[in-house]
Amino acid sequence: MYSRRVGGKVCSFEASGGLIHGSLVMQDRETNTYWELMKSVGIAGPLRGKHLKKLPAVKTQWRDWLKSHPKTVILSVNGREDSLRDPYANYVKSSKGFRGLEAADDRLATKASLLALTLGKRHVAVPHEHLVGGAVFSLGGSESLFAHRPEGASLFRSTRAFLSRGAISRKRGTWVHLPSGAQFDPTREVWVKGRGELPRAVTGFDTFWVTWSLAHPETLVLTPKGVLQAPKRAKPVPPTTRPAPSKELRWF
Amino acid sequence: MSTTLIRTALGALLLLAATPAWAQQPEDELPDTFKRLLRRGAIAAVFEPTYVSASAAQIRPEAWVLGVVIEGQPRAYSLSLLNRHEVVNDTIGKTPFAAVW
Repeated sequence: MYSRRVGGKVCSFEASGGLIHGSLVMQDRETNTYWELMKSVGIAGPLRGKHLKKLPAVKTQWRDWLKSHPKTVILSVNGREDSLRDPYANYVKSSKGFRGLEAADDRLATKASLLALTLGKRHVAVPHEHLVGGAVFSLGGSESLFAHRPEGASLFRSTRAFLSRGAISRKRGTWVHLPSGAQFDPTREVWVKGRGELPRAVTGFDTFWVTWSLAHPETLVLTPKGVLQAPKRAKPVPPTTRPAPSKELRWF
Repeated sequence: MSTTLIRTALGALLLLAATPAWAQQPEDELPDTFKRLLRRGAIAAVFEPTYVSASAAQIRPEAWVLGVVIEGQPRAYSLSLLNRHEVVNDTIGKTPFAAVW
């Protein structure tokens, strides 16, 4: 989810028809600038170099969204709110990257699912498998990243992530933010009962290693055993795609 | 030929030689990693979204949605529809935003 205010304009976006490393590249109708989604930045055109601002949004199942937001409305296109045809189903199940793409390096499996974040000039990724029930990672100084996924969560489900000044530790099964005394409610995935500055929610990408690593090969991979640095000489990025039939209306 | 005429002629030549910014195409700046698979607009984005209430929605309870609350108003977009349109251009109050994942 992005703000459409960028570079002093309100832009309208659509699929450009092209991809970079298998990821969406949008184009806006006002300036024809191309926007690379994985970098959230204009890559060609008058607004090149401008960054899109991410807005908080969650991916969840309709029944859960409805329970927490009973007054919600839902998008309807041509009288439909849902579609049984999912063009991405096979891609998600496959262990291979889009059209044979391989990740920038072998620190994680090609299709490992992960939380990826851009924090200032740093890119970090944490495999989903380490986040079940919550985990905390030091980012240097007093700053740390806390992220949480429920047990058995589908890879589609958003990870809740927070940046914290000051330590977060687990006490008798509950995550506690020590400076404020706030406790993490794993059902609602919010910090409660704290005083002062609470951990700040941050928005990242839940995606695959192949997708993120090709956009950001210098990413630091955070694991419970420590940080996996990018290899000094990442594998050269392979040529990405073969031409699609001209009448194809989907990526797949 | 007067100096003024020569200057004018030189100026005109320079104007002709320079590539004006408006004549450059964004495509000229695209990186080599950009691969075009479809024509622009082949996947139809949504520019004038419409909504139904939760009680009127025909959607599987287990369907995945992208949910957002802006200016106190909750909205949901099924991922299955987003996958077919890639981008929904929307506005709530004074906040224009694009639903994309």
